Amino acid sequence: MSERPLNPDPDQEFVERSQNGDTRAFDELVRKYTPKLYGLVYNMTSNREDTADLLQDIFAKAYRSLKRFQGKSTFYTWIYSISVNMTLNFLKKRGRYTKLSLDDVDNGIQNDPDFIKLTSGGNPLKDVNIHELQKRLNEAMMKLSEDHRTVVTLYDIQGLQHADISKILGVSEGTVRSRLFYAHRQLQNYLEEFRK
Amino acid sequence: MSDFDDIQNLIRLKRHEQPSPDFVDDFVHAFQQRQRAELLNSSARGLLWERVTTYFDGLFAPKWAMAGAAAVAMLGTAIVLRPSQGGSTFANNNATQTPAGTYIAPISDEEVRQYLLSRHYQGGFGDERERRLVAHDQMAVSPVGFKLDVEY
Repeated sequence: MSERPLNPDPDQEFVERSQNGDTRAFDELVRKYTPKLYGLVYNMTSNREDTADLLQDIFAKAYRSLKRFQGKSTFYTWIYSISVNMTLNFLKKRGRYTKLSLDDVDNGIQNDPDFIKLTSGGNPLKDVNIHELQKRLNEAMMKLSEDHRTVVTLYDIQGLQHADISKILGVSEGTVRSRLFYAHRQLQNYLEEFRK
Repeated sequence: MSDFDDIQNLIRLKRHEQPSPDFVDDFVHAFQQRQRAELLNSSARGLLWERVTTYFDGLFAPKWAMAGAAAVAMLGTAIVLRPSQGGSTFANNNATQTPAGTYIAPISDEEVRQYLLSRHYQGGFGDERERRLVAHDQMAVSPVGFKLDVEY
């Protein structure tokens, strides 16, 4: 994260305008990154109200810190790092108490190849209610340690590459892979009943 | 296919948990309001700070600063150069302090008697009725009945 990115930052223009006090330019960045960061924070907290509040704090902090952003990493990596750190701090304060407050599952899941595959034939998921599945997945996620939950969220749910995750978390790619391995093994145990 | 593919496929289904479609618009609007409020607050703080600094700028104009500095300098000089009065505590302390190892001889009784019966003595120790002078082989004069407050 300390090296200047090889590819130009696609957000550079908006970042520079925001640094010069153009709040509309920062609004564009907020609009662009809200869905992505919402997914990150929501899957880390499993609580939509906490997610909305935390996301406000994240963008407010990013705006206040933007003057110090020197472009040594992409804005994307920078704001993801802020989001992960603030979410981890929030989870530490919240402690082990977790009240699930889940978003609705969109209708797209019915056409998702993964879902079709998992519910076809003699798969145990065939008769499982979608909401029950959602609840079990979230409970399993919340049983993971925060570090493991972070890499599962970034890699499995959000589809980031190992290299990007290592930059965001400030750890080596090997550490990312290792955390993923142990997280998947734990999830296997928690979700044994849903496996073929 | 690794052992974890099933788990990864299962976890990926969480992508379908989405906020309401108008969430982003509402969120951006709420953020704009918060951002503007913070900017207004920071502007108000900036205005207050400007007024405070302006007030103190006027208060500490160069002429007043110079006068204040001169007054402090004069006061300091007066304290340093103040003549020490006789018998001051500072002087007594110095007089009684002796360097380590200095020997001070004890005062003899004879010396004490010289001070008590000095040549300035004209009689009278509070009992005038019994005063009469008698010759004394050792002392020049000594009131009868007077007992020195010195043990021999």
